[in-house]
Amino acid sequence: MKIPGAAGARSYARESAEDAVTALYQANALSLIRIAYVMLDDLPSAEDVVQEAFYGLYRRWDRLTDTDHAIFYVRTAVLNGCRSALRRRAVRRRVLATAPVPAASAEAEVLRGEQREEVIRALGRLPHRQREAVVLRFYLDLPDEQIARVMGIRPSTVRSTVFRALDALGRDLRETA
Amino acid sequence: MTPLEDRLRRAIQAKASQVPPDAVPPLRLHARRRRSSSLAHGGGERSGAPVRRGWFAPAASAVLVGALIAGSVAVSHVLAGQHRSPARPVPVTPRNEAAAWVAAQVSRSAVVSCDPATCAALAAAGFPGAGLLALRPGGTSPLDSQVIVMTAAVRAGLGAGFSSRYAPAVLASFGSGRAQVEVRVVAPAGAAAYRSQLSTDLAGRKLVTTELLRSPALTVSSAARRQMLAYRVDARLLIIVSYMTTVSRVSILAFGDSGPGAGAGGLLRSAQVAVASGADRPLGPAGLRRTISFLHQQEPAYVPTRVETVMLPGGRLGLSIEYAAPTPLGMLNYNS
Repeated sequence: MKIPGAAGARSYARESAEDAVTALYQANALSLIRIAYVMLDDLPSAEDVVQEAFYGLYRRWDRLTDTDHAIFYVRTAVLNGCRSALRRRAVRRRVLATAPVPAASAEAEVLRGEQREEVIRALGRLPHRQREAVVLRFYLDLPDEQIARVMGIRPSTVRSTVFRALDALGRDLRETA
Repeated sequence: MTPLEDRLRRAIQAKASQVPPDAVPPLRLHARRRRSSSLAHGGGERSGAPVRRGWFAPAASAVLVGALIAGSVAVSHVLAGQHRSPARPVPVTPRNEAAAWVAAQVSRSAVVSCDPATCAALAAAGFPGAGLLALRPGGTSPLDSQVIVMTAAVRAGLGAGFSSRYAPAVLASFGSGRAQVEVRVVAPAGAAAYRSQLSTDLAGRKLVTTELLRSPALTVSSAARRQMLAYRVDARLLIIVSYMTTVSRVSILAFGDSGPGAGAGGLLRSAQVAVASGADRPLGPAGLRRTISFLHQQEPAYVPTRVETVMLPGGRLGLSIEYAAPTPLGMLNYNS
């Protein structure tokens, strides 16, 4: 996963905020959209979350004390955006509990594939924090320190969270096997 | 790495790879409303977050496609007008206005009670004869119908209190005084039960409207926002728009089709919407056809009575979605 390093980020500061945020977006949008898609299982929502995260970064750019860390802000915003989207979805499900499930569009069917991976389903059953830690660890290959920074928790909590997530996934997959 | 970790990594990679590299939409930094929420709190996902603005279709193709569709829409309207035009001009009276409104707006599966003269006017306006219940002394009770057309003759036959007891909601009203003709919803269980259902429905509509307005996939015009916040949008429309936002970006320009003189039971049953892909590209004719197909695939209760491609103000292509009256109540499960 290629993420602009410190030297790259420092060069952003000399450019306009728009150029800097656009460069960061070009370098990271795909991986962030993919993370959001794994979390949300919905591409338009994933794109929205990422767009909003970068828009927030753009608005905040002048107030950033250290633009080297912009990517951490964006990752945090994407995770927060996913949580909010999932909360909204839960409310919608509750409200529409008696409404029939709509037929999916052909495009959505293609995106979702004919069979959803059992592992992804089990991942979706994890608590938000465990799911986020697992995706950051096993998709972005981030070290514990960086995951901790993105999630706003301590590295030791990252390790215990991932441990609990793997334990829960192992049990879940054995039960559904 | 344990087998579970390996399996997990592969599954996540496979899932993520469903997003193709060319799926990244262009970054939009200017076509948004400013807002006060901070990045640390999750960007645009909070209440009141901005919604996507702007439809960036290439100008040339938009003009060309727009001209083609405008032509086809105009032709379809002309043909529809030819089909519907009566052979002789119909005098404009409250009865005939009501008949025309019912023929155009009331569900073809509904049974409509009317006095014999109004039933004849309804049949002449194109309403199916099988759905007409002519009221005669000693005949079938109007409580077996879903809609009643209250003319002076019906009011005299059923008594002054019928409306308040069994037909409390006005869908549309034409004329005034003794000549007034009202199209009302029939409430066989009585007005109190109907009002209770309406109140429950309103609570559900409020909740769904609030949630829908928070959706980043939905844009609403100021007029449409006012209509939504008056909580008078039909539950079927709210639900179908809500589902549309799960696969597309939707922009609502306006709601309509509440009847003239409608009361609380006369809800807004139609909408003009623009639809864009997840990458914020306005859908062209083919994309709109797919959306129409998507709408037709829903459960029967949610399939619009009419949905067609229209030219929206500003030259954009969009959809007109319409549901028939009366609005069924109880489609939203509201758990307070």
